[in-house]
Amino acid sequence: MSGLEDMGGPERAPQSPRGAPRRFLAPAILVTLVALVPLVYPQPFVITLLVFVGIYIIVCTGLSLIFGYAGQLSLTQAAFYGIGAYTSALLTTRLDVSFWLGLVAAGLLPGIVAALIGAPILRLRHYYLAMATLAFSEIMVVVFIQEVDITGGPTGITHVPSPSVLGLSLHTSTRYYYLVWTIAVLVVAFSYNLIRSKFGRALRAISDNEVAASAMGVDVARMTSLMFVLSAIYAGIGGALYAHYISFVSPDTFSVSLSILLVIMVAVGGVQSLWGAVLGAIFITVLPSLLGAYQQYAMLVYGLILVLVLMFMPQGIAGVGSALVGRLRRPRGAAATAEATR
Amino acid sequence: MSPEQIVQFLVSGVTVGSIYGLVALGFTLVFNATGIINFAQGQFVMLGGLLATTFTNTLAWPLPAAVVTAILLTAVIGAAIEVVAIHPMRHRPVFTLIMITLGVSIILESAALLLWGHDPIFLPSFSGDQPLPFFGATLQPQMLWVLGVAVLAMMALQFFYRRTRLGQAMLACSINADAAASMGIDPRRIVLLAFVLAAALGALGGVLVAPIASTSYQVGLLMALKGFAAAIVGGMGSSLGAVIGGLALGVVESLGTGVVSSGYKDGIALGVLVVFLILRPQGLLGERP
Repeated sequence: MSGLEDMGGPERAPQSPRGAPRRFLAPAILVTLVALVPLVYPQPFVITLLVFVGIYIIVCTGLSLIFGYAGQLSLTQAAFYGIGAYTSALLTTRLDVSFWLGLVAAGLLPGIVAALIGAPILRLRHYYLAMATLAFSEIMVVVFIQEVDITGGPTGITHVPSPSVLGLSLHTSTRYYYLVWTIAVLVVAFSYNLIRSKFGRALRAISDNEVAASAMGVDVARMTSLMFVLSAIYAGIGGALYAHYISFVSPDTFSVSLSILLVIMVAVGGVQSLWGAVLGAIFITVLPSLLGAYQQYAMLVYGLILVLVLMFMPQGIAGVGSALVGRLRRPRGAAATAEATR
Repeated sequence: MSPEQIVQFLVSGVTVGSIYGLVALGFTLVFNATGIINFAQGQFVMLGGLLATTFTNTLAWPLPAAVVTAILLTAVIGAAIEVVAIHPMRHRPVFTLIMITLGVSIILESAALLLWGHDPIFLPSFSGDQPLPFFGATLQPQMLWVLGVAVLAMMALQFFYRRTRLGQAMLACSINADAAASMGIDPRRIVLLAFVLAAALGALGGVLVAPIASTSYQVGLLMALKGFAAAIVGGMGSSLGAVIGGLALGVVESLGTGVVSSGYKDGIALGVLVVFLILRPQGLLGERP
């Protein structure tokens, strides 16, 4: 946790005596951890679980951008996830397009759809935006089921091929794990740098106070709409990674429940930072396997956790984490100051 | 479409539209009292229907007792939701309130799945299943029950608003809560009452429609979306609008099903919602703010 906290704010990036920026330390540790996990826990069910964690981290990072940074609630990510999954599945099975081209298309098409629907829908606020995005998610489920010629209807598309890199087939879970997590790390790193940029500060200003941000010359509509498009691209990439891992797509995967579940991940993890999305994706994805024999209670537990977290820890898991770290640090900091004054 | 088919689609549209109207009235009640859109509103429809099936099918109660108990029990659940989850959170940001009501919706839905299972369940019809001829179309007797009871409920609500002290107090609160409070009206009671009434109206819709369309643990969320669509089409906050919006949505959905395909039924209703939100968020009856 203390490693994560090092990346918490631009003002806190102290240089170590040798001049190597300490802020590279935490990412390096995290990436090493990600790389080592399959060696320490090679059990298939652990790897499968972690593949899903990685996919949801990609999707939730996008949700965190539109939600925590641009301040708009999108309950439609499952639709983009589904469009991405179908795009890549169709291109690779019917047109023999390579996985990589399919992945690019799976990001682009949801991005285009988001740009088209974003312009009118994002003018809505609060309850209306939530309902409109929820409705769009449900409409896409109907389309997936009904457009049988394209989507295969209720049965969906089967035999989606597993990808290969430089001739190395990624058909095993462990190899696929490295693919998914490489993309997840890239997505988080890109998003992290984005929100630390001038662009990100403008975004933060929007979620803090839209009117004030607008008065300071921030083009609120354009920024929000760009984040919506980016979140759709991430969701589409996540969907394609899902399709090629499971090797089939069918409409019930992309239900409104998934849209809601993704928002729960971000809300439970904490909307105030990207790490909230990451922690939420990990926590909610791993939770059912912790329930053991009581897995059928998973949705009930999700609902209860969501309500309890909103009531008693509105900053989410990440908020509690950073509060704890803050408390651990303060005495040390105070001592250092005291020493300096002496 | 033949004229008979059009009549048939109109009849089923008005029937299902009455249910949407009842759900929309529930949205309206809670919205007027609190400014909150309760995403769990559709779950009251699910609860009413499923509770009634348990009382009749499992416990073999007489239908009237089962229906009334189911509605009362759902109303109590509505009150409990207000007390436990909404009241303590009422000053939180809108996002939190949306997520809270979504959370409540998930809890109710997954609890219903555990209690009643996956399969759709029918409630017995209120007065037999002998179809009645109606201008070349056929009418199920239950459709008359839906229409009749829905109209009665809406009239009772109007009577409540206009003729009772509590109803007047509720109306006053929705117009100006602060002024109402300074006149000695307790807003806490009004909000609680709004949730109770909204839950009861939803449950009423649930027991009315369950003999025709069956019910299952997962009908709630879609019902919430369509009831909300009805409220938006009619103009959010207006009781008359909720009723008209519900009927209009039901008819458009039903006729649209005839024109396009039955598979697109839900898509049509939700498409109407999105179009209205974008082009005419104040609804048919509302004025542009």
